[in-house]
Amino acid sequence: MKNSKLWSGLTSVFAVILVIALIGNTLATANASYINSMLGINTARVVEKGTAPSDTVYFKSQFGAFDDPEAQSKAIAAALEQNVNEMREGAALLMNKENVLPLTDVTKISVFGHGAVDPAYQASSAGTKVKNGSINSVDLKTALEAQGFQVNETLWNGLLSGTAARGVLSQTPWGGASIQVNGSAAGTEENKAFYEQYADSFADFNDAAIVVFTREGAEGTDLNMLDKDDEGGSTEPISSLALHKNERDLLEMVRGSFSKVVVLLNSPNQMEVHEIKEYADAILFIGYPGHQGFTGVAEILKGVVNPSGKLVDTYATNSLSAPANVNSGTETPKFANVDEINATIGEDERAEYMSFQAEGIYIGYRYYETRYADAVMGKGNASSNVGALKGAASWNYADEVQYPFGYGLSYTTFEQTLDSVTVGADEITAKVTVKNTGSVPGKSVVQLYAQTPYDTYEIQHKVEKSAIAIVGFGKTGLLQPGASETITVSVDKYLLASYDMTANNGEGGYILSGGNYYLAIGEDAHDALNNVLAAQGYTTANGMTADGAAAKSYTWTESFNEEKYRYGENNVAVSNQFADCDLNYWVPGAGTYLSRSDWAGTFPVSKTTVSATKEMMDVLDGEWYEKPTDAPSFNEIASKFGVQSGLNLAAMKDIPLTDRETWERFIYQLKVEDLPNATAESFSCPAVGELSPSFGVGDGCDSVGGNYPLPVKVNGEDVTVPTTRYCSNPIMVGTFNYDIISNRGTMLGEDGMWSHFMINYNVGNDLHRTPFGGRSFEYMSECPTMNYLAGAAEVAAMEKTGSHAAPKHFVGNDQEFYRDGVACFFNEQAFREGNLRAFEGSVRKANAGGIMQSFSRLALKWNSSSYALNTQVLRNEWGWKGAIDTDAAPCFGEYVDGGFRNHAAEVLDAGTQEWCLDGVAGHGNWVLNKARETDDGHLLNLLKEAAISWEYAISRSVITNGYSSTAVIEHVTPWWATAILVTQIVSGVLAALSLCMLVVSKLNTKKKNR
Amino acid sequence: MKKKSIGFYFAAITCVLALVTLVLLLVYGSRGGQVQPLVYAALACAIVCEGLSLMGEKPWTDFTSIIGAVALAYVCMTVFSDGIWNIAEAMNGIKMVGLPELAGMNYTLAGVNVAAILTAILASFTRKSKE
Repeated sequence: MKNSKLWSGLTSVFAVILVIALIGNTLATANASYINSMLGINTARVVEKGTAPSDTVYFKSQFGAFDDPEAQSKAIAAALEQNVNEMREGAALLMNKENVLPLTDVTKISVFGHGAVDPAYQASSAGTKVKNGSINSVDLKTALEAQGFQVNETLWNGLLSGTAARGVLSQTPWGGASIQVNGSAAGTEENKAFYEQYADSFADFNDAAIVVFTREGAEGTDLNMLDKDDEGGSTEPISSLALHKNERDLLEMVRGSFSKVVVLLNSPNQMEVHEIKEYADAILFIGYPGHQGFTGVAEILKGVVNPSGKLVDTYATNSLSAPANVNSGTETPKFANVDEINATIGEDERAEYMSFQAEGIYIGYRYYETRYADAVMGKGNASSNVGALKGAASWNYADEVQYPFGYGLSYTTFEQTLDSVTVGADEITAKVTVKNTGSVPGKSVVQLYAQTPYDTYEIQHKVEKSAIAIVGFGKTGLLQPGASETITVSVDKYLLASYDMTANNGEGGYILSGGNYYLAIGEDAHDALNNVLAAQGYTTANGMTADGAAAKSYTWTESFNEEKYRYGENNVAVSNQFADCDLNYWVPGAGTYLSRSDWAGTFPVSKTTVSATKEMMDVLDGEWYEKPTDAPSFNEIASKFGVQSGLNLAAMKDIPLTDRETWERFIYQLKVEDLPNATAESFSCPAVGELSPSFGVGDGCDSVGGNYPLPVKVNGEDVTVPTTRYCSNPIMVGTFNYDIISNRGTMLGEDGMWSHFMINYNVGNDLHRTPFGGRSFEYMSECPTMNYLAGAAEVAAMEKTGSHAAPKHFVGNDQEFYRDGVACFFNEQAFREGNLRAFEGSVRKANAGGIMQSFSRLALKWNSSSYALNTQVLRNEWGWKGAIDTDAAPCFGEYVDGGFRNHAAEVLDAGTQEWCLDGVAGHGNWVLNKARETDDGHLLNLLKEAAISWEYAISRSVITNGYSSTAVIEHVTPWWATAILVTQIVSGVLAALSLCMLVVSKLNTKKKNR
Repeated sequence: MKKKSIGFYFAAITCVLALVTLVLLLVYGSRGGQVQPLVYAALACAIVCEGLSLMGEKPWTDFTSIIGAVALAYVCMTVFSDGIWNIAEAMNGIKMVGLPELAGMNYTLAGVNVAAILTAILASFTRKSKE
């Protein structure tokens, strides 16, 4: 009996281990790419079969060899220097009463705010994570002390032991804890009683008070449009970007105790600052600092650096006043018949929410400034109180806007003169002389804006126009007092074109309106508009906030032209592609777009929602692929594969894509079964047959993630150094400095190369559609043209390295709330001049190596399933040849056809070619099987095209380093896979043996008992 | 049964833990967590098998103990596997394809499940009643 218990127990043990190993194997196989990535395992290696040439490092770091510790040190130092430079030139000084800054003579300071000791170095998303104490990170206190400030230690230590937190504390049963950001600002600041404990310490450190306020969203989490206040505060919902009670109490206390109060906005989202202005002497926008941005902040506070950053977003008095807020973010409405939709197509299609983008082109300053211009001109009922601040009798710009786009102060003064403007057929050139008229050295930003005609044609044809839009910028070097510099700004005339859905006899296209055009320089968008209005004869008597300077503007006339931009790349006609993205296409009259022809009548005042009709649900369902009638047979295409041509990756690195024949011969060496791996993008991408090895990819807009390859000694221990987290994008773009923006691209490319990443999903081109975007820190600005210009500079520089840039999230990932599946309805003008324009610089102009798509829907179709977007616009109109990837679409074990993200045939047929985080090629394998089962050579051809795009990108990357024309790829089984297999076999055998022994033992016992 | 042995108590604890797992799974599922039907079947099997052990030492008790432990291991690994993205996203502070807000439940489920497996194994090593 005792023996039977032993065998029973052992059988249980081994059987349990066997079950764990079996299911664990499935889990591990499905997530092999992450495991390999974490463990640094490469599942394929390059083996030289001939005599290797002396130098196969085709893509070199500018800092030296990848195995040279000194070169690595230089690379790290350069990255950190870039990080600091971004803050030095990107932090925007918003207010500086009586020149309280710089704190030249200030030594002993008190630092307030939970955000001071627990700043958001970044928000939760991809890339290197920085927190206090991370290697190479510099916290605020350290940075301040480095500039000679003495920080109130009592208060600082008190804050460290405080209880304020951003998000919900999640406690695990065994004591672990983590903070889950939830988009709320409630509870993120200590209360009044907390600070009163430390009041006695203020007296010794009262030269100045620094107050840090933080706002933080996250990937998947927008900031709350309707937030709760702190305890004891408002019982009505308030904006999460408004001051909360504890913050107000803090400011009140600090104002009462200090003569100098400086507020740092540790938030990429536009906080409501009107109340802060009442208490503070100075406000500095610092966004997220990344690893060492606080060094730049402290230098600005001390006056070592003169601030020259500008805002890339409008700071409205009421963060909820923009028209884009009504149907988006955390207030996005649902379809009116959600239950019916779910019952009809299933909840897994994620088709509950709809966002009707009633604002049209009027996002950010394009709304506030255009409405202002119309109010001055007395047009379009702009002064109506519809959409105005609560209780206002009329809409008044000065009340509505605190700081306009492009705003930012300096410690000195500059005088800018528009010397000349030359208008050519395709390009406009403006020369601007900048003189430092102040007493300290500084840099000045030249901002060039344009106004294009909005007249009878535009009103009749519903072509909306922003009254002012940035078209170019430049920045001086460090100008000494009295010194001058002339900046030349060149503008592609294409940026003045508007998309007209009625052009070309209704086919649509870009037009240059006929009439008077204006260019103007200005301190910001509002100032430039005032200069244009001044040239048009308007003054403060007309309601302008200030008299403009007509001399800072230039005007000329253009004739109506719908031919100039009629054709895109390769002579492909640009025409309407997104008619079905207009809500009115499906439900006539359901949506009204904001128009400057009637602000009062078209401003969205309530949510727009509809019941999805059967026709709409058919599209939402995501299943429409049918084999083309002229599709070749599967075997017809498959028979071309498996033919060796002697071409390898090294041989292909100089073959242009236009040489289709050679690229096809290269791909046809694969076995058909290997094709799906060319669709499998993940943190560790699998090898594609014998053509290309496995490799990693980078991810993250302010940091590509990854590590430097060589460990460094820290306190005697070997430590792996992660790549640098740079400043949040609104800071980087806010430098208005092409050198810094380009160098961000260069350094991200270097980071990618040192991490051995083929590609990096890292250029955040989406818009700050509202101030509440959870990933505003990763995306560039509210202005599509700004994103166009900055994106082009960053990507062009990065593409010169050996690690590709892949902008994301293409396109329209402007909100995090229900981002996976939200149905975005819009008109084509707004889409092309907004979302698409924001990417066009990176993708079309700078020729990014790849893109990552968005989770959202273009109306009813998932972005990845839109042929109009991914083939017609991207491939045909823009002539783009890069690798095109979905957003995250992992296969949970086995691919299941159906469900959001999983309509693989439709996605591939639309032009999408890789599935993100699907390292096991679940989607690609399913497509291959479907092609085989349905005898569909068309699908097989699409897989081949995907392989060409993928291999082309690989052939132009650091992955080719060390790869000669006689090298081959050998596959390697990772050790963990072997370990699991051995565990399965051993536990299986032992379980079986134990079970046998148990049975034998039972039989013996039975025999004995007889 | 008057002469309960240590195995009886292990089996009883396993039953209780399995029932707790069932309740947690029902809550987890109602909040959107993925629970395959087979998991419920396996859990029911485990409860029945361990429940039979409470009847005292029988000729088939050794086998039901083994089946109970294996079924619990299946439940544990399957739920963990299906919830791996909840955990991964919670650890990274993002919301992408999983439900990170359920990660806490995933931890709790795993903890309770592992405890149940251990007691089930101990039960299979030990007698349920004295001779």
